[in-house]
Amino acid sequence: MQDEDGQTIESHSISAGLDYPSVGPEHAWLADIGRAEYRVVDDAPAMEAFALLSMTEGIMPAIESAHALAGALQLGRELGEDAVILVSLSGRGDKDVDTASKWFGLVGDEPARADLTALRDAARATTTDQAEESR
Amino acid sequence: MTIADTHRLRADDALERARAENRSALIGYLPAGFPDLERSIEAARILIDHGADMIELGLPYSDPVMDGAVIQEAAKAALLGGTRTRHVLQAVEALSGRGAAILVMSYWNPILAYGPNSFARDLAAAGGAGVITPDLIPDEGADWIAASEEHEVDRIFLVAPSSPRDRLEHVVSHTRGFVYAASTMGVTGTRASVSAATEGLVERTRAAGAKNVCVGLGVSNGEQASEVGAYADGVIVGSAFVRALLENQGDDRAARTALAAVADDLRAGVERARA
Repeated sequence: MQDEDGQTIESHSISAGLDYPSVGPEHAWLADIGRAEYRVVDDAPAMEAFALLSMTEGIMPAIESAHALAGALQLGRELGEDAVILVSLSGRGDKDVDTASKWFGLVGDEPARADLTALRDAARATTTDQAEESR
Repeated sequence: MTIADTHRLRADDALERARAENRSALIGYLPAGFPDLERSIEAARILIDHGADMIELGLPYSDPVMDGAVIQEAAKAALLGGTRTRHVLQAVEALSGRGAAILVMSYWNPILAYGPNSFARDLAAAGGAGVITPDLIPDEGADWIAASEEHEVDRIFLVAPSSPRDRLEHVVSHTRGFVYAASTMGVTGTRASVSAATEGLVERTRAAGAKNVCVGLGVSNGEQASEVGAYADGVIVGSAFVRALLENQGDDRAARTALAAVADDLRAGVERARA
């Protein structure tokens, strides 16, 4: 990320592993030759995906990986129910418990950035649907 | 010969002039745009008036990997103050034709963003001598080598104490003007002493074919300039000047006096080095 003079632009991400203003050369090349398509995912949908996977599968993803999950949710809505989507879950979220706890307002004085109760209901609805389908 | 050519002093001209006086050249670094563009130009004029043979104008960059705390602070302030690449070229123009060769020291990305050929063209048109590119190695510099050849600007690459013989030969063969010998495996900043290995590096760089070798990193006073000036073709000083500006922010007169004092001390140092 740079301005027209080639000066680096400051970045922000809730995920420490994504908070840098650059792109690896492999990704840049894959994008240039059209072999890969990249999407933008902000903090809020990433943390929503973080909560959903934790609640539905008992797997806590790294916040970096939660961005990919949020992208998969976007893509799934676009492609419909028959789509088969493979997500590379590149890391675990144990290291992110502190960040996530603050985001959801479970510790500290900061207000919650997302409604965990609503997410829990959404997660329950998903798992109930799946349970009914498999029956 | 165009009008620009008549006053465009190249690095070699400045080094030859110093050599004729049996001394090392004094090269002063200042970041363009600190504390603001006008004051940075004024500061460089003071350095020229007090004996600098060459001025190295730093193009402030957001990722200054070779710079220590002092120059980082000034460059950051220059960027916050709105300094852009074109302002640096304006400063070059304001300073050329005053008897000193004017170099730009820039990390590669701003030049890449500007366009290497356009940068070389505009620098030459502004009366600039050349460019020091600390994070560009000749191996990756084909575009810059072509652009600097076309527009006849010096391209100054760096060597370090760790550079082996074949590396030195490679860098020397692609350099025009002088080779910048980094005295230490570190960043810019004043140091209590200049590494004893520096003289060996200068000798090895000459043995690799370099005509002119100038030493930078860690030189801040006349004593050190005298020591380095005994064997180097040029002595490069940055942080000591920038510190004089930082310590006297808001007091222009004090800043001018401090800059002049640092420059006088350094100039006296290079003059007595071989006396």
